[in-house]
Amino acid sequence: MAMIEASKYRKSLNRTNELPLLHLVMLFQFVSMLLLTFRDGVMDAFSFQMSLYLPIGTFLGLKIISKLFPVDRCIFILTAFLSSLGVVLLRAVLKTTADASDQALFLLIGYFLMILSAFLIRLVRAWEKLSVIAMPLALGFLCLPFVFGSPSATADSWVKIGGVQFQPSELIKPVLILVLSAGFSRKEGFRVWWRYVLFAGLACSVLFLQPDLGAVFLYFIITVCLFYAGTGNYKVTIAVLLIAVLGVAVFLKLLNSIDAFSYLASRIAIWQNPFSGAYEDARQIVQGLISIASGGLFGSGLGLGSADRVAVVASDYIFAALSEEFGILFTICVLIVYLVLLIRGTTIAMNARSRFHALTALGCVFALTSQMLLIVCGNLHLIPLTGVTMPFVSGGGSSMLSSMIQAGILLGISSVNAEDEYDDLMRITRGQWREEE
Amino acid sequence: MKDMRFAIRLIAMIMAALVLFVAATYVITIHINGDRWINRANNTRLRDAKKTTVQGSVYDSAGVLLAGSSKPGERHYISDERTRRALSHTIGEQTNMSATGVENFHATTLLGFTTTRTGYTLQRLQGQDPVGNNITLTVNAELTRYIADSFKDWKNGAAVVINYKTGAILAMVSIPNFDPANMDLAVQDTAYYNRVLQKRYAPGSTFKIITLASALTNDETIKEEQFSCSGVWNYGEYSLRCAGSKAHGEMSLVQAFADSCNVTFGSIAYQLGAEKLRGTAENFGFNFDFSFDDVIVNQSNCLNKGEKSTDLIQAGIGQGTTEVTPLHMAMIAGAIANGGDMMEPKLIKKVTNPSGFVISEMEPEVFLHCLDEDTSRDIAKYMYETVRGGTATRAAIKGYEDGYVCGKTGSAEWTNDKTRETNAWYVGFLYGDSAHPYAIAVVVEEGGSGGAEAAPIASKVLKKAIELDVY
Repeated sequence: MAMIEASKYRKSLNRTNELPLLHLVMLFQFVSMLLLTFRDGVMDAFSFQMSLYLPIGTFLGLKIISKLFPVDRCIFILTAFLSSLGVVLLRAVLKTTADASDQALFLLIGYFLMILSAFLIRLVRAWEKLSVIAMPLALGFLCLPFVFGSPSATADSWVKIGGVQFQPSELIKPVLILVLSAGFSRKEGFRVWWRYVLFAGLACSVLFLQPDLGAVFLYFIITVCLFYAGTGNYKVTIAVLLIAVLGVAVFLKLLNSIDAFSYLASRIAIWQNPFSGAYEDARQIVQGLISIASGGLFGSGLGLGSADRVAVVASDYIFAALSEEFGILFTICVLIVYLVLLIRGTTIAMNARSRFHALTALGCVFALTSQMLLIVCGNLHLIPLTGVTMPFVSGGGSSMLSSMIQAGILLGISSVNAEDEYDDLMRITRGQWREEE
Repeated sequence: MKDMRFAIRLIAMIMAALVLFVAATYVITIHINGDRWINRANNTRLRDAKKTTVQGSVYDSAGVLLAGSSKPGERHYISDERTRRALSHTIGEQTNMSATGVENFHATTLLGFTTTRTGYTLQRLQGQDPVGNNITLTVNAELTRYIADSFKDWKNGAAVVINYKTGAILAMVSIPNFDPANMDLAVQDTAYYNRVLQKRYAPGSTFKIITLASALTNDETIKEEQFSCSGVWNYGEYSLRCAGSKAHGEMSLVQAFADSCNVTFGSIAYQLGAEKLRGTAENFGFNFDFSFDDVIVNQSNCLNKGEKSTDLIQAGIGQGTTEVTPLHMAMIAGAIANGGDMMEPKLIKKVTNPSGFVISEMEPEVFLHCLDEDTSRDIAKYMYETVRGGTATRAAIKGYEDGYVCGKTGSAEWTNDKTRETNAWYVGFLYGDSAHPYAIAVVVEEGGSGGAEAAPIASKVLKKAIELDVY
């Protein structure tokens, strides 16, 4: 009798067959890079190499990570799809190969970091103790732009040390999620939680002063999300949200009288009426909208669009490029991929056996989804552009590595879940499951 | 663990809903605004596409070729210069100086961006230059030229004739104009500006149509009331005068409308109150961000900038902050003639692909239901009286018996400088003539009196339109 039950359970453990999905993604990587190889009449060596490296990388990456841990392979394949989509888009849109090859390198490093973070989340158990050290370190790290600032954009959130440029707010995001999850998964109440609330508040303040308002918003909603999920204290959550809305309203009222934020006031003015003086500062918004609408249903054809006419297309306006090159239908599919990631991530959070793991998984998937929503809404001119990136797809190392670390954490937790399920199964079937296998 | 389930589920649901919402918004905004964004003058893609694509031709409603191309980058226009100039704002041009012409606002259609990509790619693969789509307009070239010629000494101004049953624009003229075939020529200031669609004029007394509509809708007894006018009405520091401070004496509402009595209509507006007057104006499309498929029309404004009593009184006679485009005024007249239904303005009669296959055809659409049929019949009667024995007698068409000529004049002040002449306005329509459902709006800038300057133009133009039997 136990045998029959075991086979029933085995079927449920053996999740959906991921091979068709894997093959489809590999085919996409191969074909799109091959198309780009011959786009300009002369063969482009970089694209040709990529048409082989990308599918091979995806294949090997999946093999390696699923050999190491019993992870949710769907999440890995979809992240591989999104991040290679970034490489494809950068090559298709920009004239030079530099950005795309950088992105490919970051993708490779990202895979390693992904495995490393999956490994760490499985290994380390004492996150509460670690967070005591992590909090001041993270805050110090966030303050780096004040010392090593690089004046690359209006928001001074970049650090440049010895030729390497990175954005601390991106890299600290996974730390924030881990630390807050460790804190809010404890049940002692505010006499413990206050430290973590304080940490989040300080982090937001530091970012506010840089000023990197997109990151402030992201950090804030991550904190609120984790606080609510961890403590279940909806009264405080709603109160905090209300205060935040009120604060933003007051801030906007006072905006014109604060000199330090004059750039923000003009940004909002441009956002409200981008078409009035389209050739000046609003150019990016207008060109972005033109680009988004230019693709039509099926896109301009890979590499045939002109999204490079939008300023900062590689990071801020990659969604516009996606919409122009691939068209509405494909873009909807990409949004659905994010939706699937959200659903898979939530499932991992629901299946997790420890409060900490559940919160961390939720935090990661929440951060990825909300970041995607922010940038897409910004590109569509629904909200002012915040300068956050599209996870996995946008060009830029910090963003790619940060997203990969979050995906790695999700994978690590999913493997812990699978092992726990396996143990349960062994217990139910009194150890016969393995024999049947 | 169990206690977190609900929160996790809730958060995931909210995020999933947001993703779906954004996806839906993405599709809907592109559907609504996509063409508008792509056809912007600063879309450099179009400029590049013109170098590689044979642009489609533009025809008028009678099939006359107005603009065409034989190879990429080349463009020729109808040879008669007067016709070309009269139609310049309607057709547009190649250098993106004007933004509202067909060659600009519908560039993607002429460039074939709206056809399938497969067809485009096939043409490229066969080594042919891709060919765009052809557009047939609703306008009549001969009528358009006739209108432009009717403007005395080429005074600046605008005129538009629409078919109020279908919304089709039969002719629109904006002066000064330019020559699309010779873009190097120096032009007057604002020549590239299509006054019909873009310029917001003070409507002056023509706005009394709206005030009257508001009064008739909100006050059933006002038709029987008697009004008296001493030529001037002092309200605080503001004094409202009738033309030439002439006293109209005792009169009925019809007489007040036909003689265009400012004092009466100022006081009617005052009694109605800002809310009711604005409500009626908004029923007629004021304060509304138009986004028509075929033409770019600027928003008209009424009482959305200030609500002081003087603003209200001035609004009643179409002065102050009230402003309206000529096309919108013609649409208002058309709505009254059409039993209260305002049609969406149409300029594209037909789009065909290079092999003659019809891609899309004009479909009349009701844009707004402005007022009920009885009231619209009353207003038409008042406007008929205005032409029969009021300020607009010169709008009458000799020998025309198929319907009734109805209209309203206006002499709108547009500056505080008293030495400058007022803008002369006429709006009107042919009532009860189903073969010639024309509504018209004419503005002659600094023309002085609407009855003397604008009404005769309208009379000539409508007569010509009937002769040509345009529809």
